[in-house]
Amino acid sequence: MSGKNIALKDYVEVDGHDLSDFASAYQEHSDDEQVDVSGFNPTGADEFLQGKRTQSIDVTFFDSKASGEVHDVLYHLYRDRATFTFKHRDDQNNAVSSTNPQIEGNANILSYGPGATRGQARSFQVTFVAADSAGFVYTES
Amino acid sequence: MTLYQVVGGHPYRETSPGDTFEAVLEPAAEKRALACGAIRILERRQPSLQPGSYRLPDGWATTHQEE
Repeated sequence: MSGKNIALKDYVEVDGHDLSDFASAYQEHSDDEQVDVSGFNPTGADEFLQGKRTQSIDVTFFDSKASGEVHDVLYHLYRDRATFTFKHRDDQNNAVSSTNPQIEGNANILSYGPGATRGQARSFQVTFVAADSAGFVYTES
Repeated sequence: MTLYQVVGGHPYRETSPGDTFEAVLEPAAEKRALACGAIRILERRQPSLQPGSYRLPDGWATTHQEE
């Protein structure tokens, strides 16, 4: 059976709060620095080592200022420079498994900027940055 | 271990409003969740030893006597 699927039922948890219903887009980033260790050699080719890893996750949220919703949760985490748990998996209706792995880790919010465009739903992007050396990792159970 | 009830209008840690869950929350996370009204504490469960529920290992008293 194909593992292809349409993004419809994603689960997004921030500091324990289920913000799935307010999220509409999701993008992970995990990038390793490419460190040049090239020396003089017969071919003149470069040599690299895999260096520091930087991880972050972008989520687009519809703005909502009711208690326990987007602004109430995210702004206080940003304001207080808090470190908190972040979790995401593709299907909120099914438990974490090898076919529905969950990425999770401790995160910080380094910038917070709601905005608005006349006539459109208020939404903005928040970047969750990995807060410690454990990083964001996938779990299957 | 603490017994919590989700009291906000939204799920918290995959627990629906009105339902309870047991957890050891990180103190700052618990403080934030209480402050925003997402959860309430139903019971703090402190580990304890009841009289008569334990005994020392065999021979422990004779090998650990103060000189």
